[in-house]
Amino acid sequence: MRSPLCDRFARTLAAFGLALAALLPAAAVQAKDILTLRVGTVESLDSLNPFETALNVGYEVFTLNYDLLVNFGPNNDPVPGFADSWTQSADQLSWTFHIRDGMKWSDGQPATSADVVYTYNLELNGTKNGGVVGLGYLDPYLKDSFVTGVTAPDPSHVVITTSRPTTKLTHSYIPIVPQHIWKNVTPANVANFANNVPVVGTGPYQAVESTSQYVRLVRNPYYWGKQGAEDEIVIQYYPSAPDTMVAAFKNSELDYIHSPSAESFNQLKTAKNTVALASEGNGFTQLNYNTYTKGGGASTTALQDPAFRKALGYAIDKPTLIQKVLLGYASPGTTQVPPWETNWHVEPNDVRQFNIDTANSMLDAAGYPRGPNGTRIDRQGKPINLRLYAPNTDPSYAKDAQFIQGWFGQVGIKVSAQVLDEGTLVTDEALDTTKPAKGQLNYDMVIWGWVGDPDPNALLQILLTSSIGSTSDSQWSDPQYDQLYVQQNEAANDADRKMYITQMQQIFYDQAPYDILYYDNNLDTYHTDKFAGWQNQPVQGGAPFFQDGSINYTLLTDATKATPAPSASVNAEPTAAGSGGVAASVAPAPAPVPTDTGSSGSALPLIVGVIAIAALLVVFIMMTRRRRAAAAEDDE
Amino acid sequence: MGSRYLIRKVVGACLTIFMIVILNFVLFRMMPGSPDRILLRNPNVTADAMAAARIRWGLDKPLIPDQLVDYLESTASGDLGFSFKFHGEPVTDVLAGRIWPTVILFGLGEVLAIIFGLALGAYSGWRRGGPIDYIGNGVSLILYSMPYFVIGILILGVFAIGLHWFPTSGMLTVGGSGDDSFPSQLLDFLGHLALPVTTVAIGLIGQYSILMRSSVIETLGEDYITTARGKGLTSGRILRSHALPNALLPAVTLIAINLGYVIGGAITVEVVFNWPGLGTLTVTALEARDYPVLQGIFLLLSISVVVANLIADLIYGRLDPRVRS
Amino acid sequence: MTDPSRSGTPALDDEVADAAAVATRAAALDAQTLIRGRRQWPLPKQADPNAPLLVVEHLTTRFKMAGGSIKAVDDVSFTLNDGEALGIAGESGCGKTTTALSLVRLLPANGRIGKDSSVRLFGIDLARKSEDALRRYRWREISIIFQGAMNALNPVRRVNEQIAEPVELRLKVNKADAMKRAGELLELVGIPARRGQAYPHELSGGMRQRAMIAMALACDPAVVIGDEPTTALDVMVQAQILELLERLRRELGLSLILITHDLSVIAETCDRVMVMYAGKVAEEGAVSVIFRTPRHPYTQKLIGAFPNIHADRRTLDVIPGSPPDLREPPPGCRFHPRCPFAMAVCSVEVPPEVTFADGVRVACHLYPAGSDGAPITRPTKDAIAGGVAEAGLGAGVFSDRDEAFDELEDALDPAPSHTLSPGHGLTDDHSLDQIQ
Repeated sequence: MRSPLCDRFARTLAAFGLALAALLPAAAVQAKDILTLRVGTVESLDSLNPFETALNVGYEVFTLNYDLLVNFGPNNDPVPGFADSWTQSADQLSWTFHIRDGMKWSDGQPATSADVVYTYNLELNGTKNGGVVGLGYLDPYLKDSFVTGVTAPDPSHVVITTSRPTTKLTHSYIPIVPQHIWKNVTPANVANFANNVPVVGTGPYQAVESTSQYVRLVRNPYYWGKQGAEDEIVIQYYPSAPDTMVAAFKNSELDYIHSPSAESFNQLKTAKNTVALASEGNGFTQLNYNTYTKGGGASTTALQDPAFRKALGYAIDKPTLIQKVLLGYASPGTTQVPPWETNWHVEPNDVRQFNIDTANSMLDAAGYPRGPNGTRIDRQGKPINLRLYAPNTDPSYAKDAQFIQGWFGQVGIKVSAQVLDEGTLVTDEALDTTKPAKGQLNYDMVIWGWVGDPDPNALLQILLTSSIGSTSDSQWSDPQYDQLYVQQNEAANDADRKMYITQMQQIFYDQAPYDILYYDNNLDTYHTDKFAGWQNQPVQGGAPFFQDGSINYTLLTDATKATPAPSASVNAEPTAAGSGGVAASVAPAPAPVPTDTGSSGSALPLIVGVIAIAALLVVFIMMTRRRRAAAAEDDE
Repeated sequence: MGSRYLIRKVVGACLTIFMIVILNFVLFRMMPGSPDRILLRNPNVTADAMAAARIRWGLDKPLIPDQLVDYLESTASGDLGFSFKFHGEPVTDVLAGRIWPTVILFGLGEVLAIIFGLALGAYSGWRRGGPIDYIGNGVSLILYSMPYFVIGILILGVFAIGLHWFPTSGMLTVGGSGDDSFPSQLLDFLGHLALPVTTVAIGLIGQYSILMRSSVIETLGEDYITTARGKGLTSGRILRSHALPNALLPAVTLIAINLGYVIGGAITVEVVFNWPGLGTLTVTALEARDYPVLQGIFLLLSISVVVANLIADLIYGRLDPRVRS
Repeated sequence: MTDPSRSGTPALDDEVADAAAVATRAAALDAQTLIRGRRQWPLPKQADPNAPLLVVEHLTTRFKMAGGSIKAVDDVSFTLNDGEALGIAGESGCGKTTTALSLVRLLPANGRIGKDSSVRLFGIDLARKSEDALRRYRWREISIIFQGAMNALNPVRRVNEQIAEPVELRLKVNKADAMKRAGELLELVGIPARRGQAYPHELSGGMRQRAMIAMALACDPAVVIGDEPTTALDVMVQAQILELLERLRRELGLSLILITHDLSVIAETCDRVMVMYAGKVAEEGAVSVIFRTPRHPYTQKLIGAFPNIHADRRTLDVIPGSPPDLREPPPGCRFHPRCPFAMAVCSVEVPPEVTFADGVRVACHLYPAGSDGAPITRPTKDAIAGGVAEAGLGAGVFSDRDEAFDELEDALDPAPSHTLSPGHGLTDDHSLDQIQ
């Protein structure tokens, strides 16, 4: 006997099935021919306003949206950007840039020299009298170039005058922003200007959608140059979730990821259609000491003694650290200018090698004898017991700390290591100059890292006396170093500049306010079955993205099409040889495989899952539904 | 239940929220490390820039009373300030986009856990000692004690990475789709939602089933159940009409209270699946010491919890005539 | 019906046969109507119209526990006739409640009725019914007024809904009519129908008990079991409730099983009394006889333990010791460790049940099989009577009611089976009312 309940069940199921059937064709319609490049990063974009971003991903996005006056080429060499040619005057004190004819902003407005003047004056006016523009990260590019004035004699020309000869104007990271959009922005309110989508720029791709999960950029219809095969670029954020990012990459939901962990990277080296690229990075990880001589919370005066610090440098086995902690993805550290900056890095004299005996004898010679229980004592007779802190942002720091604790223990220096919250540590390391030093700077040694710019100033200036109170984490002060910094900044040509910088590196290495542990590699992985034409920056030994500028985005081709897009002016062969002693693997490009360009995974399992849930619900309802009263009731 | 009772409860709730707001403010700023210092990890920052940031964020003024008063004034007028990390974006914008992903994820997960947890618990209590009871109870205990991220990673590994049935992360597949029609977007969203919602539901089901089970067992021992049996009612009727209405009372309170925490979301679940909700925002804001955003999140959370508790009070009063007076 | 086209002797035989069948059916129906005049609807289909109302034979109820099983009710038999009120008396734990609940198998999960037990309601053996089949009889034929109405009523449902529930569900009446009937029932027990809207906790103890009574009557059952219905109430309310029960018995012709440890309640309300001890029947018979001449030593002690406000002040005559642990009951007669008349045989053999001419049934070695009612050892019947007089009974508590009981005795038919007529068991004499 069919009870009404069974009828209702059948009807419900039928209705549900019909609804699904109606949806199915829609789901089955896959994406049309929009080619999307999906990039993953662990950073989460903080602002679309170039003056307000502190992150690597922010730079990546604004170099896609905007042109710099002069862009970074395949080897970080100056290539046409907003300006397509430039000349320096005979007296080297003025530069004339020619703005490309007929260039338009992405909203169709003409792009002229007026925009350059606007942008650079924003910086100049903002940095007058010690002010800052936004977060201030872009300020040094004009300040260090000694710019005195920017003018536009006509819509096609910009003239920049400097008080000193400088080559820095062609390496300036300042993007040219459209005056007609930014006209109400002043240095006073630039921090509150969100620069919301759709962003208007002259770069190859423009941001049209920005959420907390991703930013999406589409082709600039008015772009003056060649764009890549991709119609859209989506940069997706995985804050605090690098493993999820790797999982998404393995699932082909991402085409490129930046900075997976070393372990994941190793797994990906053997994956199909994947290139895992370890390239030299423009940064380092250091062990920095608290060398402050005017008080503060250092536990021993020995930290102020360069001989002490140098001796300890012999107790650090850098190759072991690199192998054990980073699985080999780094090179041993020496000076504060990474080898990536090929024009400026110089290996110092007498590079320290790991040798416990040497360390011991140097410490003895420096006047730090061992105490009764084996721990060395400083000049005040105190046993030397150093606190070693590391921030919680990178698990490798803690591992480094453990090794160092062991080695220093062997030379009679007790070390207690601790991982601290990043915010706490950075505050601890920064001296508040408005207050007395007593009670501040409560640390002895810290393991942390720095990432630099193409221009060496960024990393050189951390160690200036004037940086104490801001970026200086060693509180080191050397008048000669300070002087050399000014000289190199004012150098008229690169040869002179390099001479000064070489001396600065030697002083740094001898005085050892930091011991540079290693120069971290950049780890990048990308798939080769969807996109081809991957090029590195620098071409030898770099990586495609997250370097400087966005040129490599414009060189990508569609791997599924037989003929590659016509090559641009630089050769588009993907090379992967890395200097720095690490080999990367390249999977041979396979025959074109049609890939699913729509949503990943078919909708069928989803439908199955939904039906399963619905079925469970129905079962549940039936279980608790009233049973037909026993027929026996009536019969007796 | 009179309006005086209601007014008293509402006023009490408002006072609670006010105190929480002050406490939130003070606690966050007592954290070591200030947001301007976080800027120091970029080598190009100068002391001037840091000072300018401090001034811009109002951190140069004394904590109490200046900063506190400023904060209270602006909060009362609905202005939650600007985010320190997402430069230039007002906090209300930052939060607005993140609330509904969390509410959908956690709310739906909570609802599923409630439905299945209560059903399982009721059935286990009813058929105590039966196979479903043993299995259900055991499984509930295990799941209840497993942290979200363990469940999440397992599910992720099996269904997304292993079987490729579902995407691994995020809320939507971005771009590349010429088909913006609502059904396909909805399906895409559901596909992304499936694994995280399952994780949340599985993590929560244990508490409901265990509570319901013991509540049902206790209720079934009451005399009025014997009366109901004596009346010759079917066991289904006894369960539904007599046992469950009484057994549900503690569960209702728990549900109402838990719904208050929906906004807080499950941070670990969101991080594992990279779900762009308030949970991941909290992590990001904590790292950056983004006080305004953190204050905004916790303001939302406190309001939500206090309101939920208020509703729990009122609902319980409706359901159990014994507490009405 | 015969087919008129068919003629001849077979047709006539058919007619006769049919007529006979019709007559039998009519007689049966008459018998039903005749016998069960107060009921509103027919007996259950399987009922035997000639059978006594309730016959319980060899009822044994076991509870399975961790250590073994306990026989809470051991070989208990009794009969309840139409319109009769049977009281079951005994100490706590003697099995009286379990006996009553076993009739409809309202036992916890570890309870089992013995294989040889039979519970015949209108001749239908309920003990053999499956749980589903048994459900038909619950409340509709046998309902229970539970002790402690606060807990026995669902706290989150209104009282009138709870009363209407069995009417609606068991009798297939629609909700509105069921609620009306609930109102009527409430009025019947002396609660204004409006008050039915209340929740149980909003009623006083006495009103809750009345509501329980109303609920028990909802389906017009044949038997109502009252499980200590007045124990939780104060004396004044207790009196009201008992009076109510009396009235209902009269008006509705209820058959009542009243379980209590309070003998005075039984004395007021019941026709017959069954005294239980440690799961077995000690003595059973008409209230007047037993209270006057209790035969079983336990009954004597029970009655003797009763304070007599008319007698001289004296200390209570308590029964030394306590009831046995049913996991290991004493061998032989279970009362023997506390019995002043214990003999050697009492610790060896279980005493047989013996029925006497005055309708009393006793299980005691003082009255072996074939006894004429005199105990075989001292004290003699006279001694018993004397003992009773010593305790002040017969001249004490019941002195005011001698007259009433004399009338009762006259009305009692000395033969065990009774011809039943409406109103049997209680006179229309309202003299009882004045005694309250």
